[in-house]
Amino acid sequence: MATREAGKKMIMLKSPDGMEFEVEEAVAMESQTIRKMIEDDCADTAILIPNINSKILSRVIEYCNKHVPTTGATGAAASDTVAPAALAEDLKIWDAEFIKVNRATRFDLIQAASYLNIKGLLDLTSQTTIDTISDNSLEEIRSFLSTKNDYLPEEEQTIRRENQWAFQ
Amino acid sequence: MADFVEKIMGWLPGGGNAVASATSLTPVVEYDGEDRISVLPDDLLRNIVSRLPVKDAARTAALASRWRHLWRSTPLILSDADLSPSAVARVLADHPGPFRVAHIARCRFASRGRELAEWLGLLAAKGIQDLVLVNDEELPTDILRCASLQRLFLGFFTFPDTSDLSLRADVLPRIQELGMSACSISEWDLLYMLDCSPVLEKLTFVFSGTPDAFHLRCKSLRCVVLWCFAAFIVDVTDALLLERLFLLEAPRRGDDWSIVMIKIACVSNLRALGFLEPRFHRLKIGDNDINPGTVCRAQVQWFQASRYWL
Repeated sequence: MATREAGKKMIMLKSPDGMEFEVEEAVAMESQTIRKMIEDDCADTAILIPNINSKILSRVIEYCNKHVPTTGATGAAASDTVAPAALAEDLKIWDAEFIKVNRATRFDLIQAASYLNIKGLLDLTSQTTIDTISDNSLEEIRSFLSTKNDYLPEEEQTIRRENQWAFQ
Repeated sequence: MADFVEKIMGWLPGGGNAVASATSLTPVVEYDGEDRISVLPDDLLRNIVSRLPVKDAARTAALASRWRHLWRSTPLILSDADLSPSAVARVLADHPGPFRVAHIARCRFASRGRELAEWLGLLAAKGIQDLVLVNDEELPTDILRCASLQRLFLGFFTFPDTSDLSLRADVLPRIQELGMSACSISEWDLLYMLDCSPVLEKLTFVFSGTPDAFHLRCKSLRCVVLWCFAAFIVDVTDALLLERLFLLEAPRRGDDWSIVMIKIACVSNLRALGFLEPRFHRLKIGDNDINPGTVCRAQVQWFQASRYWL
């Protein structure tokens, strides 16, 4: 196991396209999936993260780095001087910038957040889609999501009738 | 009165609006023509559907066949904020369950009670876990049959009369948190509730018509909040696990008869007690009267009100 700084255990994460990322164990453990691997002692060597390419994995690590609770000497100093509310506000602004990505990346991030079980990242990446669906017409939603309506007209009418209350 | 109602609604979980509003993010509009969302697995799409307002969630069934079954197979999260009572009735009847969260706070019923009893039957049958219920009438006893309830918050209700009911193991066996805002409950009914709830940990009364003698006899309770309460005696007789007891804004009259007696049989787990106002509160722990200046060896953090009426 690599160690970079005294007291900070490092973990090597490998993407299927051969890139390696050395991250602090605490950062990697923002992912409940990786946390379980580490706690079950399945993580002595580098951990291969299947299905998540290096571009997406690096973004996920960037997110975890920002969201890992600050502890230790530097962390304590930071939280002594900055109020929790201000930290939360700072994170919100950071998140809003972080999620300004194209749709392909966003859906890749949703899948990565789900596989790695990082709730905050899953909530963040899903929220844009939720905002897209909320308060828009079906036609607008289909257009935003590039989803093709594959119902026959009478099928769609039947579904609308079944849930008539939702279309009033 | 309207201000008061809104204030009470604001205290309820979700502030009277069930769907938690995360930071709204401006969608990045970028059309690459590829349907990327439909290839997501069902559980990720359900995660998205579950966090939509219920109307939007149900409408997704009509988007495309990929979405047809998703809302009905997603545990229900319902807020009646922008729904008519008839729409709420349809949701409760049509969605097969399970029901995770229901906030029914804005509906007013024409049939006084019957409709609400029917709804409670559906909520019970479909495994409701978290329920916020606000209405100015008597709460039907059907509420006690919601065996899956874990958190229950009531507003403006009169708690049902339980004097004819026997203690049963299937009366709210899983309830962990009970909150009442501007409700009224008798001493008997409160004791019945506490006796029936083996895992109840948090109990909150806000502006509620509590009994004159408030007996806390519940082995699982960890936290009790009494806010603007009318009891003259708060008697913690058998609550060994109680860690926090908060008394906020007790009676405002200064005459003798409004003294609040707080009796605690055992403080082995008590870590926080307050806010104590020496003019109105008398505190007795075990057999000992505790007065200002009494040296306390237990690890209890005392809160004495210094600016009590603010």
